Amino acid sequence: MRRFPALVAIVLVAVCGPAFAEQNYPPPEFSMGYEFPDVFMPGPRADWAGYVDIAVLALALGLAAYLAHRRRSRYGMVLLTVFSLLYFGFYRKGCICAIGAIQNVSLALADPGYALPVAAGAFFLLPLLAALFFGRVFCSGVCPLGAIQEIVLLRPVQVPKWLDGPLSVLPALYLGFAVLLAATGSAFIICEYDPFVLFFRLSGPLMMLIFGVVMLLVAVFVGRPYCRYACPYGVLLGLVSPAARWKVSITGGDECIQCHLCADACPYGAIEAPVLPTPMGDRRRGKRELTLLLVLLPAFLMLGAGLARLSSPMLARADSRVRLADRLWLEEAGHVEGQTEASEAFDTQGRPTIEAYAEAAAVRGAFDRGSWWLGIWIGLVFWARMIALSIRRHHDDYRVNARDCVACARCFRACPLEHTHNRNGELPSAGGPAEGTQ
Amino acid sequence: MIEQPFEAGARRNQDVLYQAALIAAVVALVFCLLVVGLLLANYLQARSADPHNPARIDMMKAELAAQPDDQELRTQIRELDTRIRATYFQTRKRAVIGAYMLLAGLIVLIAALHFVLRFRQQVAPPAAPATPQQAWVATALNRRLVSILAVAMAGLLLVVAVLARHDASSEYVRAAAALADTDRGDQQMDGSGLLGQGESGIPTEPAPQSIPGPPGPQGAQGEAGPPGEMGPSGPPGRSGARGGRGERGERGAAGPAGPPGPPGPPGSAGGAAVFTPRAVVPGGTESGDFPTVDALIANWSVFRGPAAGHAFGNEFPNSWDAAGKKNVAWTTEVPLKGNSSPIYWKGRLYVTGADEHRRGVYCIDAAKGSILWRQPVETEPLDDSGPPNVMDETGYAAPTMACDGERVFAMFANGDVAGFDLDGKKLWARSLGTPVNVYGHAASLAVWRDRLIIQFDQGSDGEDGISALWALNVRDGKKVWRTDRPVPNSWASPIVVNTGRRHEIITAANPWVISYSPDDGKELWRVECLSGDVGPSPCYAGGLVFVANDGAGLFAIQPADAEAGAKASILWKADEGLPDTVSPVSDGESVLVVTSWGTLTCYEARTGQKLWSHELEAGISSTPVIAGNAVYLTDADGVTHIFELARAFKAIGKGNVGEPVHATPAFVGGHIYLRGDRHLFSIGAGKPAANGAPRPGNGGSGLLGR
Repeated sequence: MRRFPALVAIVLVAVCGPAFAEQNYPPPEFSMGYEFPDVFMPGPRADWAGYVDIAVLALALGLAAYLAHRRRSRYGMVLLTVFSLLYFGFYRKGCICAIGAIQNVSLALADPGYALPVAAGAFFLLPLLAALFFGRVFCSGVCPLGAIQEIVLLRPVQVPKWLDGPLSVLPALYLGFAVLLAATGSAFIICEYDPFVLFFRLSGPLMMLIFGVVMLLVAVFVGRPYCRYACPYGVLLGLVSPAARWKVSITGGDECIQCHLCADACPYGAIEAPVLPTPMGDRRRGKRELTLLLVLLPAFLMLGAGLARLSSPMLARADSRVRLADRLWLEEAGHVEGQTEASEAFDTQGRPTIEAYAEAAAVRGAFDRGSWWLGIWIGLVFWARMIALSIRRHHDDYRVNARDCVACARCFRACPLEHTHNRNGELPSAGGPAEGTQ
Repeated sequence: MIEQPFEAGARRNQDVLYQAALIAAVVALVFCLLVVGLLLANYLQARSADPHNPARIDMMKAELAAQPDDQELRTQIRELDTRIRATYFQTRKRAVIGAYMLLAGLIVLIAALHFVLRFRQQVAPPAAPATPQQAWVATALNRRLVSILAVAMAGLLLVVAVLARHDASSEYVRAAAALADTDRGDQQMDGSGLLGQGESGIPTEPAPQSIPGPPGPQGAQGEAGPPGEMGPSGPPGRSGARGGRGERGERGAAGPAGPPGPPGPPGSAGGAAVFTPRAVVPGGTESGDFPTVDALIANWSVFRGPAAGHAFGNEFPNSWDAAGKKNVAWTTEVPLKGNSSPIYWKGRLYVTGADEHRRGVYCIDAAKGSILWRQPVETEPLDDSGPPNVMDETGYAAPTMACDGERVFAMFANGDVAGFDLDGKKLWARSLGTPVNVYGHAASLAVWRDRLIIQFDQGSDGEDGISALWALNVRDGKKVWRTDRPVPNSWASPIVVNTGRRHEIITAANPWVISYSPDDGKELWRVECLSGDVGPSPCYAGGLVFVANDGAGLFAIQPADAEAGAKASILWKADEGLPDTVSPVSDGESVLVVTSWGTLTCYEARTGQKLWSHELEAGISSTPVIAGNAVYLTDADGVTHIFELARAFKAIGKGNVGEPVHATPAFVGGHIYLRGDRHLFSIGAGKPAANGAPRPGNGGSGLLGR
């Protein structure tokens, strides 16, 4: 019986797919000279609207920081989450968002000819700046993708640490590929494979609908699966937030009574249990392993760079221009029969194939250069992950892992000390120093 | 323990809220299920009336095709089509409404479930934290899995890298890079060795560095090898433009299989990538019977000169005025009218003139303008059809003469052809028969070694079987070969070019552009692209053939390469500013076309991208000539417009001879020889000097000497 609601949710979300399926419709065949009206594209959004978005983002970030650090209010955070879901999700239809803005920034850095929209730049920077001061408050109550997952989380289960660790490497890899593709002007895959945006728009490709439904079903049990195991922006926030000026405090500055309730309440596995001092023998062994890993850094980087560089020609096929040129080439060589829609469309333009080849060659060149960096990044990600797992720092209390904590405020409510404060009519102390340090 | 009233009240309130939430959840659930059911039904209904697959309509259309007069069937089709469309949009509207309803239902359901779960939540005792050993094991497992993931990632990249090694498609990257090199002019290729390389010390035409086609099954594309040698497994075909659907047959075919060889020649087939030719291509033999390249470029032996509209050597005047005697060396009246252009050989100009009954060849001293000799042309007519009917705009002496260095040749509208030595002695004369030509025969003569090439197109239909390409022996006028042409009458002149691998005669007519071997007249390749009355002659530059005609288009054609198995193909087509009489000219970088009413349109030779257009607002029959960076184009009023052939139109100068001009001038030794309606003008100061060596980038249209 307890699983019934979740089961119902699963069935509902699964079967509602056809409702969102987009259908195209062929135009009628006129034979009496009827001219189809010109297709026109809607104009870009007004500049002032972009500034409104930025202002709303800034306000929401500030409010999230206030709720997480000052008010320590889970209710307030839920309300903010709902607002963000409505505004950035359903009203703004998931665009613009900080996650996708990574690509705009990447392209702007790689291509001087690309003018970075102000809103994209602001959406990229503001959450990072906020994280630098308050931790991942963007994730807690502002990000619409986080919000939709937060709301459907009905029966949270903890992901085992041994599984959470490897999975948490994936977003960094995704980030690397996304930046490469964006910087080469090939694709904005973060937007393309945004699993939730089609719920906001009530429209989208069927495969993405299935992906989104699956992700939401997982999110019923697993807290924020996309944020934890896919979100590339979370990687950047995770890099910045450990250096936050004010970190989230479970106890509000009081001494931890080590009841473990906060760790149980956190669906994201972002609370670290106390770590006992490492025995001397293990410490020596750990140091040896750590030293070995440090020495192996160049090997990680070179191996990653070399392999990625060698893979570059295939990676470049992620670009439609390269795929088109490849196809044209194969067709001309007679290695394939027939034409694809793309090659047929190219033919109708009457352009020389050399143009397609030259364009594709330029893209391939960009991939050749970019794949070096991608490989270095991949090597660095695995190396850093191994290093992180090799370091055990002793701490006595339960504390948040600033890298993973999304400041959802659940742990506050679970902490008995918080209830004590509230019963006494006292507000918990704001922020405070990071707890649980050695 | 007795429950306190306050706590009991709170518990009752919670129970009420719980019940309410539960009821709301159930209602929302039922609502959502209903909506989902309706949506599914709606979806199925939409599928049954799928507008993408209107099988029934297709069947009815097939019936209608068989019975086109069946109005009832036509009405039924329309009604059914309307019904399907209405159904589609209705179902779509329902789907959108249903999606919103479902969304609302889900929101209520999820909210209610949150309440239900919250009220049913039981305080669980804190879970026991992991023991140090458990934490240690979890960390160790974590590290191991991360290591496995790292290895898997490396393996994945390795597999991809291995696959990438066999990425044959990436061969075009090299081709594109080679193109970029060629564009920059950094890569100067040597001659093909086919022709007189190094002869006269004149740089030879760059070997056509094509975009190599995809490699053969085992082929390897050579990159930069010694000239004149093909790699053992050459690429299957050049990669030209895709002329559009239905033209795939003209693309390169798969090449022969072969073992990977040493670096081969830079490309093999049609020179789509040669856009910066260095110089005119020499032909020549060592026998001395035929002009050297030096001699060819120092003279103007055929219509549009030795390089199809390129002038070599000295600077040419950019301002003159015949009325004011400014920059005009002399003016000579040509006794008989003619639209043929002057040719020049060693200080002498040759022109023809004719009327209905008389035909004459005139030799004029280029230094003084005096007529050195004149000769009538009379032959024994092959039939008694009498003088041909010609339009005034064409006249009886439209074909331009040709010179092989020792002889000059003339042709007229009635089909008479004659050869003279340079001193005016008639060597031979013959008639090819009065051509069936609605406007009058106008194709100029070409010469290849000891052969006089005549494009003798006639008749109103290619099926008439009376059009032909002739090769006459220059010494006696006897036929060397004759090849029938499946085209109606045309007015374009043939050009003889060196593609870097062989010599070709290229002809343009409706609808075919056909290339022939000058050796035996066999057809080498053909491309169907033209239509209507084809007047503009082809030109050849940068490894490409350019043809154009009003109503058909401007086409850049990549000649075929038999060795590489590449067929001729259209690289691109343009539709603006199409000429109906004026021939296109190209320096390999740009192509200029001129309409009869004075619209100039310049395209990028490689891509067909339009660079600029300009209105001269003058009637034009004369073909432009490129001299250095300037283009000389004379309008029908006798005004020569001089402008840069650059990325934009820029006028440089202007000259005026004060009488109508329809002929194309000859550019030799710093002088321009321009034929008007009645006079021949020598424009330029001082004595004409021999043309010098070509400046880099000046011409090089692949026309050959002998």
